[in-house]
Amino acid sequence: MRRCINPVELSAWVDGEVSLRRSRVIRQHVESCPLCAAEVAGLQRVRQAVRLLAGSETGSGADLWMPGQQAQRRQGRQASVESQRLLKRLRAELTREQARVVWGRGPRMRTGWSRAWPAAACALLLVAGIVGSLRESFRPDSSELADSSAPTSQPVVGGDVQVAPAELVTGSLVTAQAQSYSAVSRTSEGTESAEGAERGYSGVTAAGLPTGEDEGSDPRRVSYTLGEVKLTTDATQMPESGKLALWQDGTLAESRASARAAAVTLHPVGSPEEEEDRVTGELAAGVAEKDREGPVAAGMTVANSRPAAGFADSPDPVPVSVAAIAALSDPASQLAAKPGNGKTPGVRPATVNAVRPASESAGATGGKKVSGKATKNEESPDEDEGERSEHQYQQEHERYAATVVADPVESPEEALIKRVLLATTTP
Amino acid sequence: MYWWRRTGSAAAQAGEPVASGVGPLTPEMELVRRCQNGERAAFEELVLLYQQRLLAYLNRLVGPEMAEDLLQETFLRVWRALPAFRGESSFDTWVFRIATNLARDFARRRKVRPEILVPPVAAADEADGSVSNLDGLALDAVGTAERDARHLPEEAIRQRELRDNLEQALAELSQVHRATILLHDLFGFRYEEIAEIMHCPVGTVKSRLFYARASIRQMLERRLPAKEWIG
Repeated sequence: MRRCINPVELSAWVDGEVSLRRSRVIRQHVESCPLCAAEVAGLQRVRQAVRLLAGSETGSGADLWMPGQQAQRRQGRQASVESQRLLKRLRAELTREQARVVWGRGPRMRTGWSRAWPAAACALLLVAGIVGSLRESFRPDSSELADSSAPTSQPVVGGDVQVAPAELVTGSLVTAQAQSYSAVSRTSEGTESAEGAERGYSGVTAAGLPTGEDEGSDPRRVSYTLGEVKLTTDATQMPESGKLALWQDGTLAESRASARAAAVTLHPVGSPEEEEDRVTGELAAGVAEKDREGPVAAGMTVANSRPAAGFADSPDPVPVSVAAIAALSDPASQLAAKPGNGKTPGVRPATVNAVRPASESAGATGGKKVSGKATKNEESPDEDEGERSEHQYQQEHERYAATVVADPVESPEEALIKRVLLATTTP
Repeated sequence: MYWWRRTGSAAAQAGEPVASGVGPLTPEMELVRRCQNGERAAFEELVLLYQQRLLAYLNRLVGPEMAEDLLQETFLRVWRALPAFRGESSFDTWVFRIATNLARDFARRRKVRPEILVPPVAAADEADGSVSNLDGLALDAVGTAERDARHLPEEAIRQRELRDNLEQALAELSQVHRATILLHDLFGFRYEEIAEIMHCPVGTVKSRLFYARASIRQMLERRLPAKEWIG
């Protein structure tokens, strides 16, 4: 017995969709093969059954019981009603469409540019959106870091940088012109920092890097380049806040934190125009480690915070103490920067005190504004900062360099940047 | 042979010019030419000419709920695209391709398939509680002799049951298989035309058609005794 015909070909043969020569071959086989004959019969039955469906569109079955003319009239009426309804809708739609076409041009004219301009407009909007988002990416957004638990590397120019609880964010404030945008973080004077540490709040450390731009003999005008900012929070002990004070050309900038998020705020100092033109600081927050506790490097991180009684659930930001920022200028404050000092809970922290009087700083920097969020403490021991010698700053710089090298969470890129900064700013 | 008389494709098969070239135009293409000149009245004639066929097709592809909307959208697209129609394919192939594309896009958006595709006229009769929806067979399809036979109530009931089961079997097919078998067995398109409508090779049309028929056959055999549908 010859091999059976492919059923797909049998189906095509039933439809008459094979060549005449092939059709003869198939016919001969079907006549001699009962299996293929049964297959063909089944296909034909289905084909005929589907064709019966055509009648269902002509009207209801009741038409079949009517006299011929009556059935035709009924079908005609139904079709007419449906047709008129469709035509009415089409006329309305076409009229609206025609009104939209400029100057009465018909659908023939809807080609070329008139068809392409919506796509062009969309493309333009897309490009504008991309450009806008790129520009936005160079602006700080306080919610970006607060909402993200993943390590971030968003550059930040000024504004707020919020760090969510249980995150360690570390990064460098890199300036395009390191020597012109010089800032150093300061904390409250040593005793205040120590007190804050005893009270058990989170700490922030920023290490200042002397740029060597010692402007004269006035030590208050010695510029610093902000090297690194770190904030550690504890997952189990929610910090209320941390605070970071920054200096720029002798002008105090300050960070502020909210009560719940332990945020760090960087406020670039100077007019917005100056900031746009001159400063491109970015906080490359590179590492976020949940399990990390304690300082990353001595003198650079203040860790561990515990909510104060009655304030842990406070929804409002509460200005609290900053932990020890590397007290480069004041050896006494280095005590506060050491890890393990901030364990005592239950006391509302004090507001971080500015190290330097704003008036003096403004005068030294040509009248730049001091961040309004800075809390100035005229009685701060940092008043005698002006009495430091250049030798002291050199020592501070060396200490900072040591901590940078010892930083275990530092990425190679960050280390490279810092080394370059060190090399270029070392007197 | 088919209840749905196709004018454009018949003309194309006969080798008659369908585009605005030399030679006489079919009435259908004459309407198309007038539409291309912006005659709204000619377009309305085309609508009336294709309305029932397209509605029957869309009813079974997307269900009666959306069929009318898609029908209107089909005609709107036809009107908009008519200036670009050059007659390289037959007009009804072109129109059915537009309708098929719309139905396919709709199915992709909704990701649903109508469970039971009931023709709107029959559904309206049932809703009205009118006499009966005993049969919906086409006179042209079955011939006058069969019509006489169906005047017997038992035969009418049998045909109705067969039709209902057939509708359900069709509804259980995928949209591409349903469209293929409808285009061929119900609307009389040839394989090449179906391939053009559905943007697929002719071999795919063949296999889809066989698969659809085999599936319907299995479903009918499962639901009905052989004598109910084997004529």
